[in-house]
Formats: sequence, C-alpha cells, structure tokens
Amino acid sequence: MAKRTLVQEFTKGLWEQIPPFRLVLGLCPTLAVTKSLEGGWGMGVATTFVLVCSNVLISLLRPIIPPKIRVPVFILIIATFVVIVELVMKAYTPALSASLGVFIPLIVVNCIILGRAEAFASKNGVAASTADGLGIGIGFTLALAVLGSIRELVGTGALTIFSQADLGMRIIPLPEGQEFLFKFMVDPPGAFVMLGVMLMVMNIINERQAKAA
Amino acid sequence: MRDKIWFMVLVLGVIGAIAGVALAGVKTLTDPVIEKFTLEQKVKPSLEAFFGPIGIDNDYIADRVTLELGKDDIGRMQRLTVFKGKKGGAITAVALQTAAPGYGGDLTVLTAFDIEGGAILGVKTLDQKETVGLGARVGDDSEPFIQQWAGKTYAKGVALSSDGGEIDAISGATISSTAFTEAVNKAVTLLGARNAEIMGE
Repeated sequence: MAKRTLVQEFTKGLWEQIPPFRLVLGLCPTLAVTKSLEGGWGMGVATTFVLVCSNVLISLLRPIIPPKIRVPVFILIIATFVVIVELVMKAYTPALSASLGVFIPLIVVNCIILGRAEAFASKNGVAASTADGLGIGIGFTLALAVLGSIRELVGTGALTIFSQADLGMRIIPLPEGQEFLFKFMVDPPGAFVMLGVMLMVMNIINERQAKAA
Repeated sequence: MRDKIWFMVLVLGVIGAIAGVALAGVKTLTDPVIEKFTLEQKVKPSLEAFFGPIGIDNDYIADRVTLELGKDDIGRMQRLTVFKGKKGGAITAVALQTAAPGYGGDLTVLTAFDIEGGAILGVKTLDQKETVGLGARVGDDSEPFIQQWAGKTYAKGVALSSDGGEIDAISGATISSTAFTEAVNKAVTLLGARNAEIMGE
C-alpha cells in the first residue's frame, strides 16, 4: 500500500472506511443509542474524543510500550479517557449523559478504538494517528447522526438536536396525545432494519462508482 | 530491555499511576458540578413533592447537614446528607441520602420520612448504574416499585415481599431491588442511630 498523505488518512474515515458501514465495527452503540439525532451525535463526539486522545498518546508512547503487554497498556489508556468523558458529560451535559447511560462507559470496549490503537496508532506517527482518529471519529459521528435522524424522524416526526437547551424541531405534526409516528423505528428492531438499509444504499453507490471507473 | 519483566511492570505501573492522578483531578473538578445538578434537578423537585403536601415551609435544600459516619474498609470517609423539613420551626420530616451496592455500582437513594406520622413519604433514585430495561427501572419515578413506598411505616424497617415484607421487587431485577431496599433500610437505621444529630437544630 502506498504511503498516504495526512489528508488521505483523515478522509478515509469519512467514506472509504466509515466505521459502522465499511469496517462494520462499533455496532453495539450504533444500534443502541441512535433512537434520536441527539443520542447519535452525542455518542459520536464522546467516541471521537476518546479515539483521538488514545491514538495520540499510544502513538507517542509507541517506542516504550513493550510489545508483550501492549494490549493492557492500550486498554488502560482508553479506559482513562472514557472515565474522563463520563465524568465531564455527567457534570456538563447531564441530560445527554442520562440518555446515553451505560453506553458511555461501554466505549472502553468499542472495538473501533482498540482496533485503531492496534492497527494504526501503534505503527504510525503522531500526526498521522491524529488524522486517522479524527477521520474515523467524525465518520462514526456522521453515521450515527444520520441513522439517529432517520430513526427519530420516521419514528416520532421530530428531531432533537440538544434537549438540554431545548434545541429541536417538530417536522411532522402529530395529533394531540400521539407520541409516535411509526414506533417500530425507535424500537431496537428498527435499528437493525435501518442499518441494513443504509448498508444497502452505500453498497449500491460503491458498485455504481466501481462500474463507472 | 523492552521484553524484560521489570520494564513491563514499570511501564504499566507508571501509566497506571498517571491515569489515577489524572482521574482524581478530573473527579475533583466535576464533583461539585454534579452535586449541584443533583441537588437542583433531582433532590429539589422530589422533596417538593414529598414535603409540600404535609406543609413543610422552610428551605430544606439550604437547611441540609452532612454527618460523618466513619471510614469504610478502604479508608474513605462515609458521609450522610440530611435534608431537614420544618413546619413552623420544628422538624417534622427529614430526607436521608444513602447508598447501597447494586448490580453495576452504588445505588444512591433519597428517602423522605414523615417523623410525626412514622411513615415514608416517598423515595427517589439519585444515581444508579443498573442494567438498562431491568434494574435501571428503579430510576423511573413512575415505576410501581418506586411508588409503592409512600405511606409504608418504617419503625421496624422495610423488607421485600420475598423476605416477608410488603415491598414487591421488580421482576428480573432482584439485585437492584434488594440494593434499593438496603439503601432505604440504611436510612431507617441511621435515623434511629443518629437521631440526636438529625433532629437537632
């Protein structure tokens, strides 16, 4: 594989290796928290922070980490950043933190993060690792936000951007006393179906591009 | 050198120590913010609902005291927060904030007592890390499990129906229900054991 530029390291996470669709990693949070746009981007931003910080630190410590204990060292570093995110979110975005609940501490075992540490940051320099973390993280955030928006819009007819500041809008008006438009979409099975549909759409686009090329 | 055992121990130890210090620092910064939020958004509305109907008229958030309960087995000071509800200057109701280990960490519960009537006014989960869909239901105020506490007499303590008491556990969440009951019982015990300090001015 030819050496990539920093820009390429960044942009690969946005389409070519966008985590839930192309890498098919990190599916647990993807399915669990995308009931709303807010849950989707909140989870994405928290994951991006952990991913960028752990990538940078692991890449910096690369020369001294003994290969035999690299995985425990990675987990220790990742877990530390996850707890920092958890505490900060609980203090400053309590509503978001309550709605994401247990999925914030579960970022520790998100295989995207350990995967990037093992496959990328432990073999590349700091600049490349930062670009890689940012790209993959933003790709993950975009994917979750899109999935969350579609599910929330079809499921409830509204979009919440940030409930703490009452940011949100009702796109499709519902009759008085009705909470859901199409409840299936905000239930867990809706997540699987919508993820499948998005994978299909991405595969069709990729096939068309490959044919055109 | 990198595959020597002492070096591995050193690397892991140093990184662990730095992580510990960093987390302690972040916790020191975020704790007051989290506490303020808990007081304003969780404790205050609940106490308004518990204390309001029985005519409590003081500022019970400001009139709170923290009692030291002694150190736990790893040397951390255990504290008890007491909210005093006064009617015409006399304490007639109190609320105690206690915790017990649940399924996923400490389960923190606020229990409000009507001292005159000898009954529990209500309970509220302040912090929980229980399983979503099962134990986490203790965090929902509209749950029958949470609502059944109001009006129960506490003089002899409270117990789940499986232990001969009158509290129905959440099915599928025995550990969380037991922890919740334990936290309330802790409050009942402390109300007796530290009565002088709790009921004092």
